[in-house]
Amino acid sequence: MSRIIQTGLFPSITGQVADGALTVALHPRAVNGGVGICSSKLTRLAADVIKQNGMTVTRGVTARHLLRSAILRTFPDAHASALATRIRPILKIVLSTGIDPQQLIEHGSPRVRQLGVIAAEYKRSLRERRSIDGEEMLITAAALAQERRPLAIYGYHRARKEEILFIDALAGDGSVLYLPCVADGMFTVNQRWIRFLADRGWEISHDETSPATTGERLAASYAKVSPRQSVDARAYSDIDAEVRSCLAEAKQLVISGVDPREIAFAVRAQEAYAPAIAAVADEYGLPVNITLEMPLSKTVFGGFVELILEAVLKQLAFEPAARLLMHPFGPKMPEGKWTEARVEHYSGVRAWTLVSPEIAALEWADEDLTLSDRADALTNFLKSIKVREKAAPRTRESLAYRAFTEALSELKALDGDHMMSLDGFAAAVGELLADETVPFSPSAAGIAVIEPKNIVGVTYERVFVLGMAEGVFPKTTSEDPVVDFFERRQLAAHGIEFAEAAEVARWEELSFYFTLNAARGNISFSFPKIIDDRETVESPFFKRISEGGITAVAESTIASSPEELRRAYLRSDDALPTDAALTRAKAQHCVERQRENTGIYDEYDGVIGVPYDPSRRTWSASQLTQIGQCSFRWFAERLLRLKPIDEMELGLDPAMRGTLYHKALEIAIERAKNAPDIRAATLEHIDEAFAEAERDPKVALPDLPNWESERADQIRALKKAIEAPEFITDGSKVVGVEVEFRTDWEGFTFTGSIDRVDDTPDGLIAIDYKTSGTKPLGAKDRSGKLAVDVQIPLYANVALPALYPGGNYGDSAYYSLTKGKILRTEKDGDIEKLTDLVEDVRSLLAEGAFAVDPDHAEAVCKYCELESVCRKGPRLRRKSRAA
Amino acid sequence: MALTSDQKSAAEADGCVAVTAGAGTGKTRMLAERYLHHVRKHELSPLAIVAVTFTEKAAAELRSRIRQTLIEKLNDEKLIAEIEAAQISTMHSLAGRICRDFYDIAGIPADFVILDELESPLWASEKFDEALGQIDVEISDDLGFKWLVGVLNELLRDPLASEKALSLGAENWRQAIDQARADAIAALVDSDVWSDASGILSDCCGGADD
Repeated sequence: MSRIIQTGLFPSITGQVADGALTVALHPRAVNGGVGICSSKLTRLAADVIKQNGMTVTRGVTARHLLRSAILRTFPDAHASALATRIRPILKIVLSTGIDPQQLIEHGSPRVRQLGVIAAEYKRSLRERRSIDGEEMLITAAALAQERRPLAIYGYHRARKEEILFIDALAGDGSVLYLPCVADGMFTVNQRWIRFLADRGWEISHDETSPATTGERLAASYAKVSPRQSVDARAYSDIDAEVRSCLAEAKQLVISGVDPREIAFAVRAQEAYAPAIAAVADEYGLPVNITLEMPLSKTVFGGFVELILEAVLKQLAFEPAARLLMHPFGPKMPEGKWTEARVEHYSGVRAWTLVSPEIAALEWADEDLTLSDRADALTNFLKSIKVREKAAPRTRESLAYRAFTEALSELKALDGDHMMSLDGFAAAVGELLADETVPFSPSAAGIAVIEPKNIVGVTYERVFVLGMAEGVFPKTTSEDPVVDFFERRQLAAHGIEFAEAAEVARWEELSFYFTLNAARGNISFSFPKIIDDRETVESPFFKRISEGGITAVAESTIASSPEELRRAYLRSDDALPTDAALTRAKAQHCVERQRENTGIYDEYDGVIGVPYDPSRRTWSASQLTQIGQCSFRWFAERLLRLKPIDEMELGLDPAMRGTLYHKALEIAIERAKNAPDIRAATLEHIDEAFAEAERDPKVALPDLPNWESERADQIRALKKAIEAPEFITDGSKVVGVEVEFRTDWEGFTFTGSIDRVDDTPDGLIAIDYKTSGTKPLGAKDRSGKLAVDVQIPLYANVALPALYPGGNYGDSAYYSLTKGKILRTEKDGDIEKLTDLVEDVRSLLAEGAFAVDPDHAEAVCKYCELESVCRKGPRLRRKSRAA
Repeated sequence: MALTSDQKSAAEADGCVAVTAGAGTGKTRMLAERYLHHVRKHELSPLAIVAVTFTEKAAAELRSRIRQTLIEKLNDEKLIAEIEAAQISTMHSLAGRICRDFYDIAGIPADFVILDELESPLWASEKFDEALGQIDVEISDDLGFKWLVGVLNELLRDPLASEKALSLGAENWRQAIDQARADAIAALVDSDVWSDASGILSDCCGGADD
């Protein structure tokens, strides 16, 4: 019996195989109902050959360590880890296809020569250990295989050099290799390898079987051997809508009796789709089997390890340490300690240990330690806070914990005595987290979520092909940065064969072809119009298979989960009386609808309808300004006493700068006010006054980066403001600084503190310091503009007469400490506008109407921190101002 | 539908060509034809042509249009397949590829990553503070801290121009500024806009007794 290659559009397992032949299949499902005594995979057979020849296979941590060592020996100045990451993808190809590194050194560009040198050294170090890289298994086994045996090889439908060579070496008489191939260009590579095998004595048998299933008919159309037809093609708004719709349909099938394992979701962009599919399937109660390997860095556990390292590298600074403590795997922190930690802005091991003793174990930053020491410190910390126990309920996280600790042990065994800086250790752990993987969904049963390249040779009752967008499926072919497609052509002239651009593109086409073949029953194709906030274009595959258009699918009207049912009921007037959560949600939804509609403001927008007597409190100029700017802000801050979470400021923000300047001036002028030349005396005292202000607990100046340099600048600016002519007019005396007052006016009791009161030749004036260069925003006038100045008219007409009755009063003013000049003095008409404002405020208080009503330009909202409460935005324009 | 004569001349022009046209006037179609022109007439592989757009969607549409044009007008399955690997992308994507290919010349790590819009300002702010801490207090005292911060931020806004300017040395700045100003004036005076405006002014100018 000879060896046979069974070609055709859909070569199926037939009876041409010798009795006792071993079935070799890429996917175990492919051999269901097939021939042969048992099934295996090419890689498993190759592993046997390698073992029989006394060699081992090196993978994972050890392989990466050997590669880095090879780089350091050959290019001592290179950043070994970075270079290893860069060359690893192309090195895999060099190793798997058996390209001779010496050839690369002789014929390549400098970059390719570097690859050749590293590959040669890496292989040498492996051979020293009588080992090969995992990628070399098939090509090495092809050279070592001694005995041939009859095989039925199915599912290896995309011919690769290493597979074909191994098959040729291992397959004996009576073997059959099933390899789809017709005249279409996408089979170019298969055609080439069929010719190769024919030259090696294989017979070619062409299978003329007509298409039998929906998938095969579509595949025939795709291979241009039959006309195009209409297909179920859909467009969705986004990935969530696409996944929900397809899973809802799958759920209906399962309910009607279809085995979930007979349903497949073919998804090219698994990383983008897997989280959405897993989440929605969980919501729908559907089992899914996502065949995606996930790097540890993407797991919750991996993220936690990264947090530990970041926190230690930044010496337990507030932000990273807080994130570490808030993590579900993190150490516990007593209730109520968070506020203290935030306000005090804890930083450093000692501070955090006060609230979480386990943090003490992270004191391993600066010492000289070996890799083993550091690895032990990390694993001991993980043990001390019981991370394994916390990860246990989630299989993926539990596997991630185990994979990480095992990889770390392997790293210790390889290089444990090596002295390692903290940075170096963090980088090594980072690589480990990026390179080690765990299965995305560890359970093997359920709806298959599978990459098209892995669907080869398998069939399902129902197939959904998702993500059919340009650049997603087919995925745009990317160039390798070391051996680009241009150089591949040049290397091909020397017999060095890397896959060319067209060949890589054809693999995408073949993947789609096999995806079509996978459908025994229905198959649908869909794409989302938006992925990651970017608009997409439909895949060119649509045009290849379909004559019809693509149907835009709206949101499903069928609820497939209790959550979707609740969402539907939420918007309807019908009640679902047994659902307490829904009842509460409906009430909240009603509030939200009222907020968003054109109706008048209600109690959730501050219109409480409860009168407030102004005499119940004392009023300051800033309070009156605030209620005059946006009554809701005053209501929320002063009556409800809502305020943002206290956090220590990290930089010198304008408010803190103002407090610092005010305090420094208060101290300096207090000491200088009786001097003959007040300006000169103030300048004399300002340095010491500034230093005292910095220490003042009321100023609460935090540790600021580069404060030593910035401080000099601040003092210089302050001196400039004092030196300016308008700081104090000639012939004036300072009557008081920080002069406090309390007086009644128009039914309101006002209190406050005037920065400075001067006795000028024109009379007594109040001076209010401003750190900005512009006059402060006023309250709204009756046209909604911020045109009512409150502070100066109040000081001039209410406070000064109360403090200095019967005096002669001049023009009070704002003085800018930034610009060194008067920003605004009191004007005629100010007091009348202020009186109107007080009248309006009295009305608001009497009505209890504190609506969200900022000025038209929303200038007062710029520094307001209540946006999450007031929900300003487009909705305000829908509300009636009159309300 | 055939190209208009303007589209045809743009698609088949020798050398460089700039086209301005409104939305929906067939720019993408013309670009696809120009791509085909380079492939057919100059026998270029798609791997040797760069097409850049401003948005990802425009890049996807352009690739789709070029593919379709080549399928319809070129009987070369290999060239058509190469479209999938052709550099048809946004400018950012092209710049990213150049940096990846030539990391050593750019002086960046081989495995560099691009910070996203959120990370970038945070990282820059942290590193800026660290860098400021390296400056001698006397220097920041002499120059003024606020001024120094402002100037450094300005220099960082255009690092290439800053490096060029700083490499000249402070003693040569005045000369460089004068030269740049003279060059700008010369370019303005030589420009068509200037000579047209000058001509119009002369034509419209009245006589001495006007």
